[in-house]
Amino acid sequence: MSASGFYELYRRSTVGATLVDSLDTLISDGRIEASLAMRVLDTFDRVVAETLKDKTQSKLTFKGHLDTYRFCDDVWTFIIKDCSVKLEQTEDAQGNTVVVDKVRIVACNSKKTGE
Amino acid sequence: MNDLRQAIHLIEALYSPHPPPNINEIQQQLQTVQRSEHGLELASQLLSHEAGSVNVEYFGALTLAVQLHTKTAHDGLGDLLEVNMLHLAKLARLFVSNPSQNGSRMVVIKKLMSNAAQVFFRLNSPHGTVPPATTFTWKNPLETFCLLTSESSIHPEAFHDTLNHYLSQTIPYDHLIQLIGSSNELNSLTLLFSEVVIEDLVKYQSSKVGVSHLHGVVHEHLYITSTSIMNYNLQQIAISFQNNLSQSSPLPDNVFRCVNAWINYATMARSKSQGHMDLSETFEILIQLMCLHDSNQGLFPFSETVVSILGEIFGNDPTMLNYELRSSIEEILLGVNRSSSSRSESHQWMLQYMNHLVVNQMFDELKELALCVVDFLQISNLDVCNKLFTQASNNNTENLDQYIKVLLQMTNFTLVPVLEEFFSVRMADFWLDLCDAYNNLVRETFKPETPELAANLFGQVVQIYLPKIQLINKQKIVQAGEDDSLLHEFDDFRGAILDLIESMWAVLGNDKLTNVLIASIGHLTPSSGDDLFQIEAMCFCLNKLLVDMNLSESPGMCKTLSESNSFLTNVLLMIQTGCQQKGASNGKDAQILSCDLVKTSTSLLATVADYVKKDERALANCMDVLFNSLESCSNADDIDTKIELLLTKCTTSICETSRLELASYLPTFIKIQSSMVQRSSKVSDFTKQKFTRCLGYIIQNYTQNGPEAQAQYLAEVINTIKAGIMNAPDDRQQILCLLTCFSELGSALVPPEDSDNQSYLSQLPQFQEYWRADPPRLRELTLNLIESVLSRYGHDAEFIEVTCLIMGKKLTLSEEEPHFLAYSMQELMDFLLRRCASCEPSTGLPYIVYLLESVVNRYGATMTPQDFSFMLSTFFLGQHRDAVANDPDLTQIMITFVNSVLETRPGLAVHCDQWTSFILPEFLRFLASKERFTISAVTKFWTKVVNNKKFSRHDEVTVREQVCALGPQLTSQAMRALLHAQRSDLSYYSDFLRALIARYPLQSKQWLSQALPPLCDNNRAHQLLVEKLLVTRGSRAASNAVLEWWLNCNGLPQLT
Repeated sequence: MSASGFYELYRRSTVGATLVDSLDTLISDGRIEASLAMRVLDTFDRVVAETLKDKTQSKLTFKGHLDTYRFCDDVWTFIIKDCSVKLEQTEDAQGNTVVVDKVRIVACNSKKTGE
Repeated sequence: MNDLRQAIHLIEALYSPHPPPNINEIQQQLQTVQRSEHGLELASQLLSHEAGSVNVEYFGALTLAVQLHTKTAHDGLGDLLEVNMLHLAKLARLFVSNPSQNGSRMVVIKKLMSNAAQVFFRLNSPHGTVPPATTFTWKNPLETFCLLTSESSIHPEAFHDTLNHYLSQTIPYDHLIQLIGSSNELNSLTLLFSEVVIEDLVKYQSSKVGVSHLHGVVHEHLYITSTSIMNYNLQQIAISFQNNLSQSSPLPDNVFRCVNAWINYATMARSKSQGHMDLSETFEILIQLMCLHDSNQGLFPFSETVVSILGEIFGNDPTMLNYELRSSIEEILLGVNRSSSSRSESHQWMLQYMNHLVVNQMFDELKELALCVVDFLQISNLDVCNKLFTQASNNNTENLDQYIKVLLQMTNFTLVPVLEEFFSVRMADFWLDLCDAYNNLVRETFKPETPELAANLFGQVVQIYLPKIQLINKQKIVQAGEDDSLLHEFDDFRGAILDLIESMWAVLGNDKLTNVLIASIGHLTPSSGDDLFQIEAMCFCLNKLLVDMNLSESPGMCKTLSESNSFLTNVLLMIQTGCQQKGASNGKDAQILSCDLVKTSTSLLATVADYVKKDERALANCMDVLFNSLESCSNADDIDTKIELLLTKCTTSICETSRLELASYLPTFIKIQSSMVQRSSKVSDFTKQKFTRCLGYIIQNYTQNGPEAQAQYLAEVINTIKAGIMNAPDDRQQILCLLTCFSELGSALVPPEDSDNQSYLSQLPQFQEYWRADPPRLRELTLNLIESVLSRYGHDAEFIEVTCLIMGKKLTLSEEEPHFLAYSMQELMDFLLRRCASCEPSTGLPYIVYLLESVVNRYGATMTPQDFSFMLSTFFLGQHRDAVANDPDLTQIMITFVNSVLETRPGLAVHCDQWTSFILPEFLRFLASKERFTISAVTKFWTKVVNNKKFSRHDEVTVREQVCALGPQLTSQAMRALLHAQRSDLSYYSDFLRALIARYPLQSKQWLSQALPPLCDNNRAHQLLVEKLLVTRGSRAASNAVLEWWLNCNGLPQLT
């Protein structure tokens, strides 16, 4: 968890990794300080968490074989094999099921520690 | 900048509502002075300027903030604080003396307060090693502020001593209360200062580490002063209301804002520091304020605000409230207590408040209350579960029964869910958690009556929610003219109830849930829209329960379905009603609801397809209704198109399941399909394609009369498609759609994996022989048709895609399985070569290579390295060589093609002509690519080259020799590329490095030692990387070692 109290896990998402790449370039070019990059990422952590909580309406359900599961340091990890993911409320109702070989779900407690 | 007057002129220009054109220049000029060594002097002058406007004063305060941020050490911090506090005290005193005239200065005061807070943080942060000459401590800015503001007069020349004196002085509680009680303005400024400090502290700690010392100082000093002030003010508000005094001052808002800021801070600080900042006394008064009301006037002045504050706490950090406070809130909100049998009078407030909100239609406030109550209930969910269902509870369960009764009543709130009330919506989460908790209980801990009690309780919950999720409520939302977000919210609510129903099935089972729903649907004879909505809600839930059951293996469930008289009739009635109501002339609400009706009914019909196929009459009825309904669709609008799509999906499901039972419908299907694919037809392309697939399913299973009969029907469909194509040579869309129909037909002819068609299995040799010979020459017919279309549309990527799909249909099946599109390798290669020669590489080549890959996977065993060499030179290095080299997507496709061969028969690639002349040198060069897709593919290639379990002995020897020769160059190229890669691409390279070191440990150490020093002058980092990689086996550890080296050499921070 970052100093601001939000998880840093979304930094590894595509949008997060791209942001980090851009910040690296800005630091290398001497256009920003590393401390500003950290502030930007703190804000990113907060905004992603809040946006996913408040602004998302889509849901998906999935079915597959639970291959591995573990609960360590308050983080659940599930690896599901041969998984079919059904997207609900998508505009494209024609082909709303996606079949994938492997899905990894990382789930953290959205509430603060000690509750 | 020469003088103060010029500075003021520029500031006024900067903040002018009509800024001059050179605004950027002005801004830069002012910023330069702000950051300069004269900044502090300028700030002081601007803030002291007698005739200065608020803009000028604000800029002065801002300049102090800039000075504060530019000073990294503590030098000059004392001077800065002195100037800041002098002007803060001066402006605060002005405001206190004449608030109406100085109200506009509040923005300046707030900025100066924020500056003071920053100095306070800096002085009390652990890195604050203050030089001895300027050593001073400051533990309580709030008290300093009170003392300075209440001074009768302040002389700038004596301010240094005054401030130094007040910085360390404390105020006894009585004196503090006397001070803030003496002036409303001073009181509100003190509250504001407390709020500003604490809000800034929350922001400040996010960017710093190790601020626990600061939290400690706040806990020991500021917390005590602030809670004293807040509690005093909250009590005063209560007294004023009780004594019927005027509440016109803005004080309550100030107090609540300050309380909110402290709650946020205390929540955050709990996880960051040792101490626990107890706000119990504040909460106690807040609860008193919440319950204050004047029932005669219907006045609840503070209820909404406090409910919102408490809701926020329950949602985020409920343990902030101690057990006693939570118990008293429980009594207020629910009127009962889980642990004691006492009845609370304070619940009267809750009943009157709810009544007030309902009568006055204050639905937003009601929603706020629901959020607060249900978040509160969630805290004790497990406790309720244990007390209710296990032996752990005491014998006196009367109060618990009462408690549950209240919860059920709350769930059954008599307003429209989502639109008017939110209790039932939020309670769905509570019941789901309770049900999950019950399902997770150990059976041995149950009381004897527990199963019956649980079934009874959850049965009641189902009965409450079935009417709540009915579409009649959605209709009310549409009719209320609310925006679409409420409709989505209602759909989410229905979705949440499905999850609840699924969880409750584990408690209620088929007997008390599934069978009851089926019977209820079957016993209703709908005479009105309301009845149909009732049926829809039950079908909606039933579908969720049945979708995971395999009805073909559940005779009991099929029996229940068949015993339910009007079950199917009612489901079909929903489809028919939906289709009748879908016209725009019936209004928006009817259109939306018709879509829901069709969606629910078609989904359920598709789910019970295994049951339907067992009853010939039922199947006939279903097909009639589906065909008639499809006929009514004309793609008039979005709803019409969506309904057509739902009907098509349902038809496809039923045809796939009942392919054997629908054999007698074959002539009808062929007629319908023939008319459907005509240009004049209004049916959507999707429906045309899926209907052809349905037809294909039935033909696939039409085997009882031998392959000739099957071929005859196939020929009929193909001829229809051919005629359609020939009749519209210029209609690109129509031809493309017809070819897609052909592709769907080919897919449908692939037998299902679990086929139990005995007639087909017994005739398998005849079918194999028949389709090998292909007497009706359907393969030839198809190929000619495709070639004739492609002679015109050969450059069009969409045509290449669909024709490649048609040609490759058989490649997914094993050799012995018959299929009418079983082309030989030679035929496929000839087709691919023709496509390759005429395609536009950037759009067409990917589809061609996809089919080529399938060919190699299928016929790889019979191929030689020369064949592979031919493919590589023709498809990638011939006429498209330049395109492949310049287009990263095509480069990736070529590398992926080679990778796929390395994964199946690596010998084909390793011994081909281009291996040493093209693949190794070029792919080495691609390592330095900047395109992620190329990097991903090429690092995978090199990983497969250095470590490949599919290598034969011969392959292994050849490759090992080549890698040893290339090693230094390969390592150098990879490390150079890695150093200049983006952070997000590092993992690709680290996987390759890990494989290289694992397979060539001795050589790779030497290669790395040679490759790293020329890259950058950081021998320590290089050495550390080599050491770590050599002892590392895990993927994550290797990635970390690489990342550490990369950060070190590029001088970048950790960030992730």
